[in-house]
Amino acid sequence: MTGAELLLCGLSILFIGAVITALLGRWTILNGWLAFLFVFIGNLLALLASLSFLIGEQSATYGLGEMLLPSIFYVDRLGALFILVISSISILSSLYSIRYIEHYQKNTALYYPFFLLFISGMIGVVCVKNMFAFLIFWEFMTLTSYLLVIYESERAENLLAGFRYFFWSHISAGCIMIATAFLFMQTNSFDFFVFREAMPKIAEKHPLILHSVLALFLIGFGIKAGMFPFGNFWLPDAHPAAPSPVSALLSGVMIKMGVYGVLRFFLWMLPPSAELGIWGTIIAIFGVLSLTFGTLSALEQEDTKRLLAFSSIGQMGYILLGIGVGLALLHKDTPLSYLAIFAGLLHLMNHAVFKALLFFTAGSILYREGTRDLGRMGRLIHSMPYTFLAVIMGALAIGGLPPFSGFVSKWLLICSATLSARMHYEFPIWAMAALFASGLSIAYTLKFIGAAFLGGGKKEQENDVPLTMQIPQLVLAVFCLLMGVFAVYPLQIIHLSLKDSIANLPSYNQLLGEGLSITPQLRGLAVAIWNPMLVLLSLAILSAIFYEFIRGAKKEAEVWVGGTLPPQRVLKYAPPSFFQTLRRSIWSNIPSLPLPRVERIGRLSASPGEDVYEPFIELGRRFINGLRRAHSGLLQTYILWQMLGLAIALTLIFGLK
Amino acid sequence: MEYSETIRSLLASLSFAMIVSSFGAVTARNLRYAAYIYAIQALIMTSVISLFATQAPTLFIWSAVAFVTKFLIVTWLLLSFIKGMPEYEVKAIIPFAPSVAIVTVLAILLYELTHKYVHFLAPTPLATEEPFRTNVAVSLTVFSLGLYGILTRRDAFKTAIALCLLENGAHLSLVSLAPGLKETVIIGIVTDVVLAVYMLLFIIRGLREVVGTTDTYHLTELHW
Repeated sequence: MTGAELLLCGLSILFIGAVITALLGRWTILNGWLAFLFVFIGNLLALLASLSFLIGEQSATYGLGEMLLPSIFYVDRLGALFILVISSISILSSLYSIRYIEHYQKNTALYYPFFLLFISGMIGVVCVKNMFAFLIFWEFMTLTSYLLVIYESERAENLLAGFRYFFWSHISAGCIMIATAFLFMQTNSFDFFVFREAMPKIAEKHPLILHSVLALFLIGFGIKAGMFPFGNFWLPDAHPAAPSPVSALLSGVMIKMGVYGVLRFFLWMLPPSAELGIWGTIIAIFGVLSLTFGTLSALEQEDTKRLLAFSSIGQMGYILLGIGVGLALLHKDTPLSYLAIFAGLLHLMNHAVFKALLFFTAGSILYREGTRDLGRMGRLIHSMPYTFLAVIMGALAIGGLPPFSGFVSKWLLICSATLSARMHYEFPIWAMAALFASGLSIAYTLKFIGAAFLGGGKKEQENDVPLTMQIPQLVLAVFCLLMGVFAVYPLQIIHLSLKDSIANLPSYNQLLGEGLSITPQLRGLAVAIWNPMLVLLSLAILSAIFYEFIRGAKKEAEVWVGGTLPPQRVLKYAPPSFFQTLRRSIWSNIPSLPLPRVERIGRLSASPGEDVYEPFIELGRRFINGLRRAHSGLLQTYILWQMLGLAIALTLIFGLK
Repeated sequence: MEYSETIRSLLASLSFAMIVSSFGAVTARNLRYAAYIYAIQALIMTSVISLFATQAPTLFIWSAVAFVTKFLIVTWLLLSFIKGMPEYEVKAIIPFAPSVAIVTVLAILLYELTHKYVHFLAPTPLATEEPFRTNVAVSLTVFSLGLYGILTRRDAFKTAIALCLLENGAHLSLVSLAPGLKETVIIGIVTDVVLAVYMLLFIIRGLREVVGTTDTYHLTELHW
């Protein structure tokens, strides 16, 4: 079988699965296993397909029967990379769903079918070459994920979060549609390749149109990618509202579709030029804004999933920064631009892994403890040891500590941004901001771990989540480590995936050296080095020494204050007090600048006043009420409506003639 | 096609009689009388078609079919339905006196319209000549009387009669607008009114059984 056939098989299996799971909604566990089976087989095929695209085949165009859809599907290596990410996270997420979804005690016919369709929608987005089909899949993905976000529709706040998601997603889709309309007017086609060929001509003749199209694309995809100041209106609400496996998919995979759009419409479609460089700089600035805002806001949160959602905005900032720096340098023909894009994409893969993992663990806590409030949990280290282990691995990865995965991508990003100082003096400053935010991301994961898992007091019975929920967590946790130590392999995959998009991409060895260690090369010289084996060895030696040092020095004693044992809740560091000094110093210094108070912006964007949405809700309500009034129930009025309609139609037809 | 002076004057008076009888069928408050007036209207229509047929013999089949379906069958259906109904209709939305004014204005307007804009309304050259032109005007008037009846009568039985008028108007216009139709097509077109009226009466019977009246104002279950 060729890759295209495998992919089509996988997609059809997902669609069949959606129908079958819709029929068996009452049998929760059975339905879960069935859905897992379909997702597993379907995505395994997609995974194989994407590997075959990446390694072997050239890009493939294929249609669903020549008559029906003459080759709208098209997979190149860039799409294949995204299929890889979507499929692998989806499989684990569906395995996690089986037991997790049980605690809602709701009909799963409202969950699994949309879950499967959501996955197929995401795969569809990355394997079409026709803008029309792209928009259809884009909407398909948005609508199914909207239905998943409001799965727990009994709670009003979830409906509101869903509404926000719906609203902003459609602003995003609207931007993309307007941009498409502009391109259609210029090229008279919806085909990506026609766009690509026409781009230099449009740039020459109508630069204004080109730049408005690009701006609209950036806003449209930026909203989906959670880019500050566009994506923060929906993301922190929608991610906590969704069931945790869906949050993992939303945060781990779906928001990356925005990055896919940026890559497709900037990197792939535009030839390297000074204009693209300007857009790269703009994307980089948005990236820095996102990572600063997302990380600072995450520090404030006291809700596990909301904290992770803000952290997603921050991590998306790294990805956008990498891609932005890369695009800005692309026309200067320097390896640094490729390195920056590599860093962005590597962080994209890493983020998919560790953010899915962290959302799984937040879901596990919700499953066992029934709360997302950090203030109401604690000491889970005893009752959920495996989950704790997974969280630690995920936190080390997200914090960018060697030898975990986040380190490599952040290091590569900061390397390339710093080294490009001669071409763009501001990039080292962005690199510093990224470094600072990276430190803060350790801080908010520490808050998460400290408040949820630590705290004194008596040990509790072990009561970890079911095995089907633990396996995805542990698999991802192991991957957090493996993708750091063996970062060469993901980097090689990324190198393959960019072959179609960058015309004269140097070979992998020319860029990043040979062997397991990663040595970015600049004019044949290694400018930095990451040798995982060396680091692992030194870490092992250090921990042995440290263990030897503290062995016997550790004593356990009851905590007592003034001669009595304090109540347990006092023994825990309360979540609001985490990093109070740091936060206070940041917020109290910023308002002194003659700028709008950042704190206020943060709050506004975290929960924009309902007045943003109220007019739209009111408009809809009025429209529906008007329709209701038209329903008099009288036969005569209906006939009158028909006659009026006929009269209007006739006047339009003959009047226009 | 040339029609003699007698036939022309006969056509003119019959057309006028048809408009009057259609108006009568819509406004008569006694349901039995309304059905009878409808029967007369159908008979007049048959004779109008027969008069046209003196110059175009295929129209004889048309008039024969119209006689059987519109006069015999539909009248029989209406009269057999009327048993067990109250004698008078439910009060109409627009009463008799204003109706006279409205219909007169309507008839004059349509006459003017067809005589001024006949090229626009009728695509065949035949329809631009007399007496076909007047025939278009008359059939449009009958048609709009049917619509007027549907819109302004509350009684479902009157809706059925008005529907018959609507169909009659449409069919009559075909004499002018599509004179070259094949016989089978004509039979098909004319017969469909039987089916429509039968089904409508069937529904009204059900309505009377469920709601207890044929007043369409009581059909407001859809309202919310």
